[in-house]
Amino acid sequence: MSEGCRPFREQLGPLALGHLPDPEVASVRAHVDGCADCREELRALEEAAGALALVDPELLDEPLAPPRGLGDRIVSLVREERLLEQRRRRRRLTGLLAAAVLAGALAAVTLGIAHDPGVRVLLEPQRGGLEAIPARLVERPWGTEVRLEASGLPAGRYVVWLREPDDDRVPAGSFDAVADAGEVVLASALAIDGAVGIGVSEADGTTVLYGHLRD
Amino acid sequence: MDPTATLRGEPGIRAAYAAYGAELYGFAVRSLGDPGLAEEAVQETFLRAWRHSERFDPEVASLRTWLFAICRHVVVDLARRRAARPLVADAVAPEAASADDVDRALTAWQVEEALRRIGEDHRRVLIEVYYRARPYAEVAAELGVPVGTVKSRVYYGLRALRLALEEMGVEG
Repeated sequence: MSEGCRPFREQLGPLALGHLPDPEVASVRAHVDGCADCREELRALEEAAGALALVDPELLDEPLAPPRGLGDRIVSLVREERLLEQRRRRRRLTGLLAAAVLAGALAAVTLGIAHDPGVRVLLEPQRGGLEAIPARLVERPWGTEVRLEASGLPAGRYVVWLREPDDDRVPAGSFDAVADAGEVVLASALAIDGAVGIGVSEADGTTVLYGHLRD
Repeated sequence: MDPTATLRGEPGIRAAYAAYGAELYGFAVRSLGDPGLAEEAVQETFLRAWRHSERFDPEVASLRTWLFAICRHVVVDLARRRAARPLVADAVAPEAASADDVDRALTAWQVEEALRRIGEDHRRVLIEVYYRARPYAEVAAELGVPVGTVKSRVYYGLRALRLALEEMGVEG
C-alpha cells in the first residue's frame, strides 16, 4: 500500500458494504480505478461483505455447544468398532463362524433390526481377565431388547440386567457363554428411557461388566 | 499433538473431536434443525473418518475440510432418511433437505463461525452497521469512539472475516 492509498483504504470497508455517502464514493472510486492494489483489496472486501448476507444475525448470539459426553461416546463407539473388527479378523482366520455370521445378518434384516441400530454401549470389565464387549439396546413395545457380543467371555453362566436410577436391577435374562457364542439376544421389561446402565453378573451376583447409559 | 497423524487411534479421534467436534455439531444442528439427529451426524462423521482414515491426505485438504466433507454426506443421508420415514398420524412432514440446501447451510455456518473468530470490536461494528443498519455516527457515539474508528473497524473486520474464511477453506 502506498502513502497515496492510506486516506482511501479505510473507506473501502464502508464502500464494500454500500454504506459510503455518494460524495465520498466518487473520490474513493476514482482512486480505486487507478490503483490495482486497492482494486484487489476492494474485491476481497466485497466477497466478505457478500458472505455476511448468508448469516441470520439472530443466530450469532446462540452458540451451539455439543452435548456433554459426546466426545466420550464417539471414542467408545470407535473402541467398539475396533473390537468388532479384531473379532471379525480372528473369525476370518479360523473360519469357524462364517455361516453363523451370515445367518445372523439375514435374521437381522428379516426382523428389520438392521434398520433400527438402537443404543450402542460398551460394557467395561469390572475385574481383570475380561475384555470389554459391545452391546446394543433396542426399544421395543414390551421393553428393551438387549444384544450382546458374547464371544469374548470366559465360559460360564451370566445374568444380564438393566439398572434403574434408584439402583434397582431389572432382569434382562441369562445365558451360557460358550466358545464363539456370537451375539446373544435377551429381553427386559424396562424401557430404555428408564435405564441408566446395563450390567452383566456371574451366577453368584458379582458384577463383571458394566456399561453406563446416562447419569 | 498432530491429530491427523494418528486418526486411527483413540487419542487422534479425541484430538480431532476437541478441535472440530463443536463446529461439526453446529453445522449439523443448523442443517437438520434437530439436536438429536445432529448428535447422530457427528458420531457417524467421526466413525466414518476413523474407518477410512487411510484415505485422509493432508496434502489434498486439511483435516477440518475432510471432516466437514464427510459430515456433509452424513447430513444429506440423514435428511433423506428422515424424509423417507413413514409419518405417524397427524405428524408434520419434516422439510426434506436437498444436497443444495445442505451446501447452503454449510456455507452459512462457516460464515457464522468465521464471524465468531474475528475480534469482538470488529464483530460488534459489523453487527451494528450491517445487520442492524444503524448509522455510523450513532454507533460511534455509543462506543465512545470517532466515526473514523467505526469505519476503520468495518474495514479491518471485513479483512479479518475474509482471512478467517480463507483459513477455513471457504472458497470466495
